[in-house]
Amino acid sequence: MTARAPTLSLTAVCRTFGTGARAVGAVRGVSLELHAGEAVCIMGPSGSGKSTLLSIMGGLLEPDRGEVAIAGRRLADLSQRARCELRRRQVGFVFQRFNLMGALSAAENVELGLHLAGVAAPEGRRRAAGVLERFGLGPRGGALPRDLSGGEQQRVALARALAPGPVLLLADEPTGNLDSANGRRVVELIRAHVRGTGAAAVVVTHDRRVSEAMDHCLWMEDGVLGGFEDRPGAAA
Amino acid sequence: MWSRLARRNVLLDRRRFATSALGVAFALALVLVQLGLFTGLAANATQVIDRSPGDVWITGRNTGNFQWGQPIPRRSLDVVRSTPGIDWARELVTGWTQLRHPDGGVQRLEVIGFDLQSRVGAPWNVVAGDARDLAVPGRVALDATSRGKLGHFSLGDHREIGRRRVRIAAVTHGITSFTTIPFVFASLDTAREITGTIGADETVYVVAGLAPDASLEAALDALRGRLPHLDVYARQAFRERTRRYWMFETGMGIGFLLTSMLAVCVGAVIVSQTLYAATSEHLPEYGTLKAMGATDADLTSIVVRQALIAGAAGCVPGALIGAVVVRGIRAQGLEALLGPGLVAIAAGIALGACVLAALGSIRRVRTLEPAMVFRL
Ligand SMILES: Nc1ncnc2c1ncn2[C@@H]1O[C@H](COP(=O)(O)OP(=O)(O)OP(=O)(O)O)[C@@H](O)[C@H]1O
Ligand SMILES: [Mg+2]
Repeated sequence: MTARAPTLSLTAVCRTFGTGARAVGAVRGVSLELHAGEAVCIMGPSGSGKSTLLSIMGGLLEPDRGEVAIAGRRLADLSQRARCELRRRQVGFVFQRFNLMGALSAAENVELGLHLAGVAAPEGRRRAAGVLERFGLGPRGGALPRDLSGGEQQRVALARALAPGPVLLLADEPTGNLDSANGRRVVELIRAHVRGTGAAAVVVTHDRRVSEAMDHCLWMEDGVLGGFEDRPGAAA
Repeated sequence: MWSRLARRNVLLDRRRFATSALGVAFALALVLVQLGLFTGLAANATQVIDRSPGDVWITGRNTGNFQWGQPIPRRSLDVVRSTPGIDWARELVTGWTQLRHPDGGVQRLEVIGFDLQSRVGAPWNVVAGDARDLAVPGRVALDATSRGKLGHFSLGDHREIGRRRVRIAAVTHGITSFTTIPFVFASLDTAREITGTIGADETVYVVAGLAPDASLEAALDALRGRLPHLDVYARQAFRERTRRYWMFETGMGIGFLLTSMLAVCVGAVIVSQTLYAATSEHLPEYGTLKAMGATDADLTSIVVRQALIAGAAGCVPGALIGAVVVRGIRAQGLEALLGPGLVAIAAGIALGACVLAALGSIRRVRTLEPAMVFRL
């Protein structure tokens, strides 16, 4: 709404799975503000709630308590439909396993993201080709995902997420299935997008090289998010 | 975009969707053959009505259908002729008899006795001899298509029909009954003689033609007033009555319906299973689409389109197979009809069944949690 609203704001967000003795507090009271042009990474042990937190940030999962707002709009106030609309235009997702549509070519996958964001077909085709070109995939636009290397697939997935110009990028282990050279490339593209468009990015990773390229690093453990330096076991 | 995605999904998974299409083709072909036989039967049951001129049929009370005609007083013919609005009237004698083979076996026959001065109940498709020769008492016309049941016969041969020695004076071709009982055509008097159940003062039907400009409704009313003990039908109504009887009041219609429904069910199960398997395999993709902001309606449309593509791919061969089989049935001398309208209706039912078969898959993608994309 206002120009000063943080791109992403979480206030005392909690999410528990299951009930009774088997209840798991996956996210326990997380508050966070992320502004335009900021890129943070979240690290932490397996099962600490990082993916759950990303789902909540992107409006894929509703928190039991607390509030989430993207670009000043409280998700709890939005209808299901409006939340879909928000994700289509404002949020980009990148996954460890790429999650491309196997039946669509690289270019069509990118067009799909643009289509959802409301970009009409001819314009979408043009823009998809442009983004793929910038991502070094110009000649691979017609290829199916199964004919692309892992690094190429992840760059297509990144192009799909970034082509509509989202204000928020949420990535879960984007380099987890890539070798270091391809991982570096993906991180560079994310950084370039954040710098170039003023988007905010949250990247969950186990990869030190990724975390070093981000503005801040946060540590998540047992559903609690804190500063990276304050993590248990960090050298005092 | 959704139709492109659906199309590509089908193409990528073509072996699986070919199974779906095969199921649809099988079901549609079977339904078409059933429908063809069913409508053929309906058309066959009224062929004598359809081939006869006349606007009004007068029958015994509660006759119900052409095949179950019963004797009525012959003087009703004069009553009909003198009714205002009626231009002409002819009688038609129908009944049952049997042919005794030289070796002693018997074959049931359906007798059509007609007025040689008119076309009411007259044989069509005479391929040998002359129907006019039936005017001579003791002469009949038999159908060559029924030689299997009647034994070989030729023009001029004698046979024993209804305990009387008759001479075959004309041979028709292709006049068969869905009851499988062969027809024998004869003059009114010969027909009375060989049935043995219709007296000289009796007839079975009176068929009348309207005077030009006369109102059908008015004529029907006048006839009903004058013939209170008989049923008076417009030709179309008697036709419908007869067809409805055979199609719905006997078990035949139910049999056809059940077979068709079974075929549709088998096809739907095949489509449903293959589509569900394909959908389950692509769940991560559907989850990703949801995360990207695709609505449940978007996902439903993708799944339904896939079902429809597979269905349409099955409808083409299904319709062809059905048409070929129906043609084959006709070549066997059996009645079967298949018009483009029926094919369109059956294909519509097949596609509708495909959509129903997609319901399980639709439910699966609609209940999919988008947050699953982070747990793959
Ligand atoms: N849908 C769910 N139902 C039940 N429990 C869940 C569900 N999603 C997550 N959990 C639980 O919540 C906790 C946090 O899971 P989450 O996937 O967020 O961890 P993570 O930090 O992403 O782990 P990893 O590094 O292995 O990806 C785990 O104990 C997990 O088992
Ligand atoms: Mg995770």
